[in-house]
Amino acid sequence: MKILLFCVMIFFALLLIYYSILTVAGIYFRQKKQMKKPLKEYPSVAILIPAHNEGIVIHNTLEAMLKLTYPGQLDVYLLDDQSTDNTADIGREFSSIFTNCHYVQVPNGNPKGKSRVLNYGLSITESDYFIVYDADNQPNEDALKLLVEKAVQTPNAAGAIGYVRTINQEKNLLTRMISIEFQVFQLLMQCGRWALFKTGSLPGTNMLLKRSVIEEVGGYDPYALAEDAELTIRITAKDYLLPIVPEAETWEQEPENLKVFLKQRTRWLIGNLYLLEKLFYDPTFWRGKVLYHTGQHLLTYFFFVIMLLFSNVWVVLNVVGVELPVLTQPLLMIWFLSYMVFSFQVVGSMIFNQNTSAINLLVGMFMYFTYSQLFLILLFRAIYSYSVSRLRGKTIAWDKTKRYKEGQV
Amino acid sequence: MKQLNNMLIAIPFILFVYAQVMAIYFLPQSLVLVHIVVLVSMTVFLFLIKWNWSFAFIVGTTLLYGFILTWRAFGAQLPQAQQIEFIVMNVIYFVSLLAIWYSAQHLHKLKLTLENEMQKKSKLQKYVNEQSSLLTNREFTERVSLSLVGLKRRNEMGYLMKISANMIKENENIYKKVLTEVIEDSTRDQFDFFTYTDSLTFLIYLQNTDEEGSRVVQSRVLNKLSRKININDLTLIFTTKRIDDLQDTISHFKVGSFS
Repeated sequence: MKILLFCVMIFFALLLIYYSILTVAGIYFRQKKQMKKPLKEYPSVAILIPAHNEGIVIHNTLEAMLKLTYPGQLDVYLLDDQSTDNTADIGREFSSIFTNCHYVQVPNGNPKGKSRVLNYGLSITESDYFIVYDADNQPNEDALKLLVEKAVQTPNAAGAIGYVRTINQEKNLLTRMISIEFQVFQLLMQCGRWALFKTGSLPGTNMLLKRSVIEEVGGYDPYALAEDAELTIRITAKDYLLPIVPEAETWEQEPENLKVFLKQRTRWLIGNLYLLEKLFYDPTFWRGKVLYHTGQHLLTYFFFVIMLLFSNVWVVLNVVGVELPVLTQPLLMIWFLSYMVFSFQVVGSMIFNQNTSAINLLVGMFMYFTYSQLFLILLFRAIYSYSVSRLRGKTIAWDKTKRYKEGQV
Repeated sequence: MKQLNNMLIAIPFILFVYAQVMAIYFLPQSLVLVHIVVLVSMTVFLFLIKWNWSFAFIVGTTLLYGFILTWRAFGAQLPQAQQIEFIVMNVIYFVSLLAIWYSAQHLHKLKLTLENEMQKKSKLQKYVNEQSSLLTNREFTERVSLSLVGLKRRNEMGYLMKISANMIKENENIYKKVLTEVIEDSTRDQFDFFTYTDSLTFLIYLQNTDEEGSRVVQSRVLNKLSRKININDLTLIFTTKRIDDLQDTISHFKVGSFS
């Protein structure tokens, strides 16, 4: 028992050191002034918006796209995947008025999902770069310009990654927590990884890519549910870089209730399980930065959850009075340091996003004991669904996240 | 609400005081002196380094301190009760430094806001005077009236062009943005001004020109607009009138909301 505890403690401590360094590096990157140089000539860009029954949000999205300030050739493509609501009407109306806005009816096909639609979008466009936006996104006017400048000016870059903010943060406690999670894990940690290891992970939206690179890696994998993570791996395997541009912001909706949240996140986790299996069976991915990405996935989706489970079990056993070995290892201090690292991540990200408020800080501190625990449920749900579908030889169907009627940014 | 805000500003000071009380109460006498020395020297460092790095400095040093204490606890095989003392030490360090940083940050932010506002003001002044031809209704009237006096003196002509469109309400915003860019692009920076009375009605003042000049501007606007908007499906009406009296011309255009 003592040896097991010792091993757990060493692993915990190493994880803690890694995340501490990542946090400080993330803060360092966010504080560093980014040099923004305008380009002499801006390459052509196609905005790809995959959509399926997005009538409730698509008007605001298209309007935001047409308001983007971009000095080069820019075309907006609404890729309608067999919508049965008024998405087509809105898309056609925009297309008839604005010459650079195109409504495209994607032919029916299998497997269903974003990857197939994006592959179709790529096949009908010819721009030098393309950028993907989800159908509920409203990017800031300068977002695209900043991404292109970074992608062109970074040697060997496959594109550039922006930051996804939450438009409905104020809606309820859940959306506030998701917003904080995005600030920390999608931005601050991404910045830390970029500063230290020059790696970036595609977020699925607000991501610019070079057409030649996507053609070289063979387009999107239509069976991937986490198509962004899957594509990241293949791009990284070709030694391309994915720089982070925190200032290039887009706003998107997040789930407003637990049921929708669990469904969305389970899909993401299943997508990551698919990816891990794919990586496991292909030794060509067992090298360099791809190996780092795989490790990162394992840390986030498995080891973190296992440690969480261990920590919870230990606390519960203590509370119910089970006799446990007398510890001389500093487990308590390590737990405390974990909480400190988490708090620094939350506070740090709020400071840089300029949304520090008493309520956000309170919710951030509280998240460690509530929101983070949800990942236990998510992992078990995902493992169960994935195992069942593998045993039955079925493909897990793509599932669209529910949208809500929202105002403009 | 104002009182609440005042209280919020005071929170760092209150936290700082409590942290020091905790230090004196919880820490052994020998460590209190160490705590004071560490705190003072770190505060000095905090203000010596570049302000942009200050938060990273607090995070870095607090974590480093935490790891050192954890290492000591591990080496000395300390039981849980004594680990709590170390945790308290780490918290006191962090809270004290954060409280000082937050107060300084607050002042720093005010200073930056002030500088930013000054910059914005001068930028806006430049924008209104030199760069943009898009004016508010009031500015438009004032500048056109002023310009007309000069025109009359020099025996030159000024024209007012109204562009109105028919479009569904939902798309008005984006149409307004596109047309603003097109007019900016199609008129002379120094001489012509324009304004809009609503999202679909624009008024352009063309200085020292004639009917032929007005037609050139109209075709330029149409040409540039057609690259961005499908004008075949849009009812776009151009009305041009020579200005003899500004108020009469505006009345002629029936832009009632114009002040």
